Amino acid sequence: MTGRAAKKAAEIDARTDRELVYAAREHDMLAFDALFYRYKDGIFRLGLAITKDPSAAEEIVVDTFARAHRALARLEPEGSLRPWLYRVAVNLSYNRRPRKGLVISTLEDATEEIVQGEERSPSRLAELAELRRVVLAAIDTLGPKHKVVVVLHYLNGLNLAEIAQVVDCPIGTVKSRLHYALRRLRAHLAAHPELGFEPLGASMATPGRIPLTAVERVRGPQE
Amino acid sequence: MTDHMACRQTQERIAVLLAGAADRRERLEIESHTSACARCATAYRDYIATSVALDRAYAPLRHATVALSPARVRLAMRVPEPVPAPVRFSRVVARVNEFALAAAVTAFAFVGAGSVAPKPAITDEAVPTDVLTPNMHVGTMGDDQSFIRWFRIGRYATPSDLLDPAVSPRSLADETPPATPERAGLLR
Repeated sequence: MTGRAAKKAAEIDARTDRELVYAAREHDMLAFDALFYRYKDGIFRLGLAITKDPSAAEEIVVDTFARAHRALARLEPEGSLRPWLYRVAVNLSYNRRPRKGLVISTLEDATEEIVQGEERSPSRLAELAELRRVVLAAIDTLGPKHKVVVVLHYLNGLNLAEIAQVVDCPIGTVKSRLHYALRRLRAHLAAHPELGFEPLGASMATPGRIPLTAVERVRGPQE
Repeated sequence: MTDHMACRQTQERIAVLLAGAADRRERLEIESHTSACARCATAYRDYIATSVALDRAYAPLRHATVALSPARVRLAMRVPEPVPAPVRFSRVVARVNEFALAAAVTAFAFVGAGSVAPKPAITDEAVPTDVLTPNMHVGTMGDDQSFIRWFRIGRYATPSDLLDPAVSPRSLADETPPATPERAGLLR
């Protein structure tokens, strides 16, 4: 890449979604390509998590941006284009969601690939793979509304306000769905004591301060 | 507010806290409640474990990327839009016409083939035997042997043998006039 082209690419990357949408509306294909490269991986992960089919997830990426291109004239992103794109991707994912049992889960394969990259004992790797399989199976038992919230938050890293934009409902509904999803997952995972869950019946433990180390390790300190 | 409602509200707040959307005041309220309520304390601990498990389960997928080019999008946009219903109907009609024409041609071919099919061969019953017998030579395996025999005789035998109808082949006998006994006697 020449210096001039690199400078042009850096300029395009620095522009906001709104500027890129307006430029793409004026038939600036580089601007549209910049939007594509900015969001294609996130949409791919979202489609992969819902459909579990990489080829279907690729088609979802293509179809999402094809729809975005057709809708350029009426797109008015206030900040980020991500909620609009993710909403289209979620709809496309559930429209082409295959029947249960017909699709091989590549998510587990990807999990195992990553696990194998770390230096751990084989028994530990097997244990981790099994735990992940259990958790992913528990996620599959959720309904579409609750699963989308879980995927968007834990996989795509969207906050609750962004999720509310994607699923087009109030933020209170998103909080409620997330709580319901966690409660359902907790009930499913309680059958696996190796995950550290207590059986739901034995919930009369001694009250006390809950260490937040796990939360802080995952999310960081709240302040 | 009853204890049950407080617990339910607290557990919903726990989910919000784990999503990173709770402020400091809410966090303190949750902690004060869970320090006094065993059920919510257990729920808090389990929600944390669930959240960590979810986070770990999706961790590998967060690194997934796709090697796609924007050219695929442009290619997809060139795919023609679905045709409207009237056009679809006319295409169906055209398709039916094609099938009807193909069926008609096939039927005509079969019927035509039947009309020009070879007639059954003339059998012995169809033609009087008295006409067939002197004029028709029905080939059998024996004829070849007769011809060989005749050929051998014609080459090595005397000419008188050739005129013997009992020796010469039947076809030759047909072409030659029947030898009268007188003439046969003269030749001998």
